[in-house]
Amino acid sequence: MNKASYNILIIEDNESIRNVLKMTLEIEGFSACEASDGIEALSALKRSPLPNLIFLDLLMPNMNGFEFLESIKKDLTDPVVNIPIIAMSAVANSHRDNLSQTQEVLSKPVDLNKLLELVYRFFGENSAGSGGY
Amino acid sequence: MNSETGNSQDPCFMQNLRQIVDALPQIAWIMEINKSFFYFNQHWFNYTGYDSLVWNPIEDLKDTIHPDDLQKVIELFDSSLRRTDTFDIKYRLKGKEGQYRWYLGKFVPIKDSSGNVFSYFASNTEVDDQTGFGLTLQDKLLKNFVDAIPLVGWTADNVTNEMYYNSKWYEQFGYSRDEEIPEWSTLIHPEDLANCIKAHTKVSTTGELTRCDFRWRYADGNYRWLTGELFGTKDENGTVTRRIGVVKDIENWKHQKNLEEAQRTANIGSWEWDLITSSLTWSKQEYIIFGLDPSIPVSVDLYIKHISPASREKVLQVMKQILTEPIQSGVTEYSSEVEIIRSDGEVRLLLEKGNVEFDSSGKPIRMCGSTQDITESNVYEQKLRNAIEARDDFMSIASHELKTPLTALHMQLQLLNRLLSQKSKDESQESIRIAKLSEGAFLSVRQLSGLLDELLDATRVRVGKLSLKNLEVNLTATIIECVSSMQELAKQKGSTVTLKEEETVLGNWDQSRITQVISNLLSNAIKYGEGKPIEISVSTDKILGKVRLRIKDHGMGISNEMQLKIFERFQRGISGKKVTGLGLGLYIVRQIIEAHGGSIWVESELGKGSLFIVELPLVGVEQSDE
Repeated sequence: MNKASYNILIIEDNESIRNVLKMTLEIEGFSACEASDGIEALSALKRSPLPNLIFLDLLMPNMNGFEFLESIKKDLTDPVVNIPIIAMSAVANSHRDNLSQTQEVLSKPVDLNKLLELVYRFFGENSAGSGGY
Repeated sequence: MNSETGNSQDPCFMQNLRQIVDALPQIAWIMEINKSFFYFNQHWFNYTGYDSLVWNPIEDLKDTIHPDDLQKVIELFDSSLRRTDTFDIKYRLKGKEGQYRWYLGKFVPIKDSSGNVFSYFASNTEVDDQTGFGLTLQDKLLKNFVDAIPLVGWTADNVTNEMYYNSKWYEQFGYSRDEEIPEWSTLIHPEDLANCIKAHTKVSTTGELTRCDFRWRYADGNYRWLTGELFGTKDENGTVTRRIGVVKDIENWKHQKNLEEAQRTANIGSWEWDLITSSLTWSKQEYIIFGLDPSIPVSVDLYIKHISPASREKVLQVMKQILTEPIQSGVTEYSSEVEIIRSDGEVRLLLEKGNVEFDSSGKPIRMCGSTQDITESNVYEQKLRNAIEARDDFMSIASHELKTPLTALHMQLQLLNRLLSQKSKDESQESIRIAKLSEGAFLSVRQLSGLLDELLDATRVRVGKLSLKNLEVNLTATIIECVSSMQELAKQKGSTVTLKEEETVLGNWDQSRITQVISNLLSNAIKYGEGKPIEISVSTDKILGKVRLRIKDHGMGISNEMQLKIFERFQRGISGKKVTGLGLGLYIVRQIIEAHGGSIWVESELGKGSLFIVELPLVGVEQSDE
């Protein structure tokens, strides 16, 4: 498994958290890019290559996580729709029901072990090669 | 009158004698010894109250003379009879109301021509008991006056201070005429005596009408409040000769005054509604609350007229219910907030409380109650509510604001800790220290995050603010999930967790909140269970439509006193350094369960463990028939 070829988009308004997530993933060998809100994320998704996985904070200024989800669902032909998304929230429990079954929710503060576990699970199931974690 | 000579056989003589007796301005009589015949003048009858037609003279006379004086009279009479001479005696005669007055009796024997006594003539002059002098006409008039007034009265000689009380006085204070009356100053409450003496002294010198309130000891030993009014009568030189006074028992009035004062201070009025006569009575304060003049008559219509249109319907409804169906409705007491518009236009909020009284047939006969003006307290209450709201808002905002940087810090330290622990090859002293510090910092921040989460949740679950997303929840599966996620913690403590009867129970609840409840209760059971087995069971009552979840540990238990408190905010069942947290866990649990329409309680005994019971309604989900 060539971890560096897996690109993960982190959508998170808090810079410190974003950095921790990016560092964690990079240390683990993955590639990561960032967006500080939904609008930045949408423009990032216009560039190629598309990310293989998205970490999405739900509560953000400008465009929050729910609005971002609504927005990418508008065009179902867009390959963006098929990118797995892991939502993150400080109030994870109360949002779980708003999210579709395929998406996972991580509660904040994010447990980094759990985060990596999820990443490997997604890549193991949805992408070529096994996680080997 | 000296010894007279006459003829008993001469009717003319006796006739003349009777006329003389009749003409005397004092009590007098003639006694014919041989015939045992008595002739009393009108003053006798007036004073003694005997009927001039029906009387028994010897018995009446014996009865009229004070028992202590009677023997003396008989002795003197006997010796006078032997010696045929006149005698005088100072003795007491009883009046028609039982009072005794001192008289100087003069007994004159009347002899026939042969010197035999055949009759006695007796005349009686009222005298002062102390001096023995004859009373002045004024004295007599005053005593008569005091006897005649329909009040409790007294009169005192201003020189000798001899007191004379009228019959109302005896009646009022429970004494009889025959007994010795204690000195009046000993009957007055010691605290009030100085005032009374002052009043008497003033009247003694000036004669001016004076008033004085004091406590008086009744014959039964109890003190009651009296009010006295007294004045002095003067002789031609302007010297006060007698003091005259009347007293009135004002104990009830004093109570009334105290009650009025209490109502005024508390701004509480009271009212009474006689349902038979339809008459309504208000206390003074009730009038003041309604802004009405206490002298005007009040009626139910007037009351209703002052109620604001917003409250009127409610009041009429309550009245109707109480009057027409009190027993059936079970409403015999009520308490309601009523808005009134006073005649000056001011709107006030009143708290009215009342109750109904019934006769033996169950018919309502009387309503009475109290009215409290709560306009101001309502404002304070609102302010208080706002203050609590502001506090909770602040708590909510503050914990939210703290949450973001803390989350970042938490994750940064977690990563740092991870990196340092991965550098395991570096065994230098410095690296070990840094790794240790990083680990410690991470643990502290994790603890802090936990506390903040608890606080955040508590601000969120405040009554009425908790919104639930109810969907079908498999309770049994949820329990199994919670148990497995707690397995690690249970292992550390040495507890085993078992779920009895794995019957599937479905309910319409908020999945994440129910998970939270079970996790919380289970982690408590593990934390306080002292490593002993923990049992969970689920049972449904389909008739009541309820499911009951029981979580039982065999640990330290909770004292009776704490069992009620643990569901309040900031309470912990045990105060120990080992146990951390804000004491919000069970508060949150209770709020969640109550928001679901359920209830939670605990059965526990110190040292034997605790059983937490959660009851949740089973609504809207078909249960399998297993």
